[in-house]
Amino acid sequence: MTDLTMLEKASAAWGGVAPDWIEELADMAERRGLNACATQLGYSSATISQTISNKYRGDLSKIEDKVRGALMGKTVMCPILGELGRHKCLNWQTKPRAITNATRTKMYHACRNGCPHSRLKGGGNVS
Amino acid sequence: MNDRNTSVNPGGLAALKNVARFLALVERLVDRGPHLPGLGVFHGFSGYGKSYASLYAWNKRDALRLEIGDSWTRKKFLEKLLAEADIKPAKRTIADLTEEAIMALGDDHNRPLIIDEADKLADKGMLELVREIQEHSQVPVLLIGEEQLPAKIMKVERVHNRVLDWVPAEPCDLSDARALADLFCPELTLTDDLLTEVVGHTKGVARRIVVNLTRMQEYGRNHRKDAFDAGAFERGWFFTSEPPRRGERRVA
Repeated sequence: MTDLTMLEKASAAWGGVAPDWIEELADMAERRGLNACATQLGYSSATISQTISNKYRGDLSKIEDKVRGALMGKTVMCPILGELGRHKCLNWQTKPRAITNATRTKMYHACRNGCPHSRLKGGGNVS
Repeated sequence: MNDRNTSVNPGGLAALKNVARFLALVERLVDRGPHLPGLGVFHGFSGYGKSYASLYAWNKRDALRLEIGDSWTRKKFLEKLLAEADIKPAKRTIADLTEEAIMALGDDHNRPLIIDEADKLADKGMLELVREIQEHSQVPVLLIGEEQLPAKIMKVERVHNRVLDWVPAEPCDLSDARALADLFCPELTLTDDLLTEVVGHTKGVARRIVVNLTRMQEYGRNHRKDAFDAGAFERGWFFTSEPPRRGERRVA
């Protein structure tokens, strides 16, 4: 098993043809290692490995969004910050309330008040 | 269903010239050589769009951003700084918190720290603390404040010596007003001479320009119009931040 590249591993696990974002993730894992992917995406390296080999049991669509944002340049139109990488948008949604600057509060409200990109309760993108 | 208004405004940020000025300052600080000081100052009158310019850079450069509150003490400042860096402080004294902040910032020393309302830092005598943090973490630190900020920094010799560059924010010109109009009322057709009038009445203060644009939008909606040119509104109609005056008071 160890002589397989990440891409080969991925296509084998995904029944021949892996989705484009899995290929992108496998490619990065091959070049820079699982740990680098994990840091970039905010997941553990185990999760990245499981995703590539189609064994992850959690919310795969969220990982997909993060990969598309961080590695494939997908952006959303944030009502507060304007053009924003999808992965950063998802990171914002998990940030707790803190009184460090007023825009952080605006973001907190926007993510919970009908923003079409939000996966939170109150957001428009609940899956 | 509830009756709360949950609409999300088409918002975002307009790339005004002040945004470019601020971004250039951030780049200069990030790319500076190791022997150069790491403080940058962006100053200008209220409403010029300094804070919005910093939001843009905050987003693009993944920076940390603080707005100094009037109630903040040195300890509060350090706690907020750590909160912004997603770190729960382990210890409680100011010296320990400072050390934690320096270590946290130093982990990624290209990630800028933007401090808005920096006048309050000066008023509260916290500039030295910021200098200490900057010095040991070597992160680019951007101080944003009102027009008096440079004068306040000049009083603290050790801090003002470490400023790499001072960049004044400028009032909006016609093309800035156009960018704001495109962002906030894209459905209206506004002529250049009307926008010139707006810039004149508002003295180029971005915040007031936006208020005027929003009023035009409202007026257009109420009167079913979507195009305005110079002279469409009389002088007194424009919002200049002056409270309205009463006319002659009637004597009973």
